Amino acid sequence: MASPFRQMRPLNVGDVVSAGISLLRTNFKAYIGLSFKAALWYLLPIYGWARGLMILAQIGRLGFREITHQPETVATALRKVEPRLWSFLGVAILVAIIQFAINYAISAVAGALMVPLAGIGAVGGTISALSGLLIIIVQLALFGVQTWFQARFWLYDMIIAMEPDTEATSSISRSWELTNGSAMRVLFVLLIAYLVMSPIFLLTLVPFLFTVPFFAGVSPDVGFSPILGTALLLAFLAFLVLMFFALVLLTPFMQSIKAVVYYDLRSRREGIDIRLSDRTQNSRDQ
Amino acid sequence: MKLFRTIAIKTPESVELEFTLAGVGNRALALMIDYLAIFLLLSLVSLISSFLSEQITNLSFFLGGGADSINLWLIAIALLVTMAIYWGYFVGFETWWQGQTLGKRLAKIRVIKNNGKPEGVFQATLRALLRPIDDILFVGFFCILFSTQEKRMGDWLAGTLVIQSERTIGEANVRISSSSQTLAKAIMSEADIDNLMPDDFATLREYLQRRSFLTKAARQTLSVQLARELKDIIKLEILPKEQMPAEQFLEGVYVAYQKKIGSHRRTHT
Repeated sequence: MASPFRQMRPLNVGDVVSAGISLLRTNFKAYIGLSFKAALWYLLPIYGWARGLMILAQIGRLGFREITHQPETVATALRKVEPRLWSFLGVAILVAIIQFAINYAISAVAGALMVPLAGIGAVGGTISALSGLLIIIVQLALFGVQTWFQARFWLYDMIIAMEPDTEATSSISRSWELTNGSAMRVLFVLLIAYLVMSPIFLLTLVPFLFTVPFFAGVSPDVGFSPILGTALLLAFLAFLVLMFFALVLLTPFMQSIKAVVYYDLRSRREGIDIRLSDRTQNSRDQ
Repeated sequence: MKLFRTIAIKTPESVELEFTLAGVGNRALALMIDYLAIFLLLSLVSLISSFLSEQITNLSFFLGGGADSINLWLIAIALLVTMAIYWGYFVGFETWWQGQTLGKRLAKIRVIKNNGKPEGVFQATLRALLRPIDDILFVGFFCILFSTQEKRMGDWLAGTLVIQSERTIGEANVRISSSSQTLAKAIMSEADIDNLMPDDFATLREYLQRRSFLTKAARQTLSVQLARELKDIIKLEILPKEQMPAEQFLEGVYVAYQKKIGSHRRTHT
């Protein structure tokens, strides 16, 4: 007998992203509304940033509760996350500093590898093709390692929002512990999520397409063309507006995925899906 | 709320088959792996061809001819080889592996015909021919996202679906200590193992299979909690041994249930 109350078992990488999309799709209005609010808060420094980050964590919390079949209203979720308002900003800054330092160190290593490779490439012929390939591989590896670290720290805001007993700063180590042994899985989730988001980011660049005809009139001796300048400025403004909406759409997407990842890792590492089915529930079924 | 879309297909024999659709995530993963494989193949080919073209141009100079016409020929050949790899990869794999490419196999998804039959070379070719259109402007991506059957243009035209391939459901790979065999006998004689329902057994097996991935603390609490609940379910008043680790008890119940099922089967046949 397959009980409808059966929890989801651990998911594979692609399923995590698909589940995140369905989660966003079913709660589209609520999540987008919250995301819009968060985006507006970001315009206000310090307090607004804390508030914005908190609202994003609230989306994650709503998603997690929905997956575990204990849905919350937006208001209840807000009551749960609001007391930890400043933790979200504080830990976000801490994580940003850590990641910046790590990324800086890794880029330095990658740079030290790439400079001699580029030097060898100057020889020309087959060797330059080979060095070009090697440089691409080093760059991919650089991106991979940076994303790996991002994956390990990624869950901190879910933890602050879901686990009131975990101290704010330990949420970083807890994220590290939860992703232990699953880092590659989370890394691939992030890569697929980026891939899925890329069409929408590319759409925001469309306004610049309309400036292309204006370049035709520009010749080196004329110098600055006011028409081209205006066109570029307008395109840039349109780009900013589109970017704003793209971010309003895509942040809840990432938060939904994060909620699924958090659920998935807690099932894998803590077995939260392993529960004996409720006896009273069963007897009613029969 | 349903996290994954499913589709029911009625076969000519009126048998209804239900499939879970692959989902955007799995398809993106498969695409990523496939393009990575194609990229590696192409860069290998370009490495070899750049080496070869160097030699051929040198030879042509040596023979007193110009390099221009030879270079044109080489570019044409390189273009042909690139196209052959791009389309051949998808058509070849999908035909050979019945609807799977390297990426699809790793993402555990598969292409089938609308009627549930395996994909053939005709469908694979149509899907591959439309792939550039689907990929370049992300037409396919938006089609998959917004259509209920998750079809990109190539799927509409070829009449195919992309589904999750069957997963082997937990090949009962549970390691049991030898002491739990004797424990199981004691449990069978003293407790009401018939009270244990298939669902409970599935949960128990799930725990025993996955316990080694759990954190130490979670493993400890979860095993004690499951043992306590199972003890109530099978109405075991006194534990066979006074001091016993929760996991050993769980293993005992697991073996006892299996033995019970086994004996039922024997009496029926």
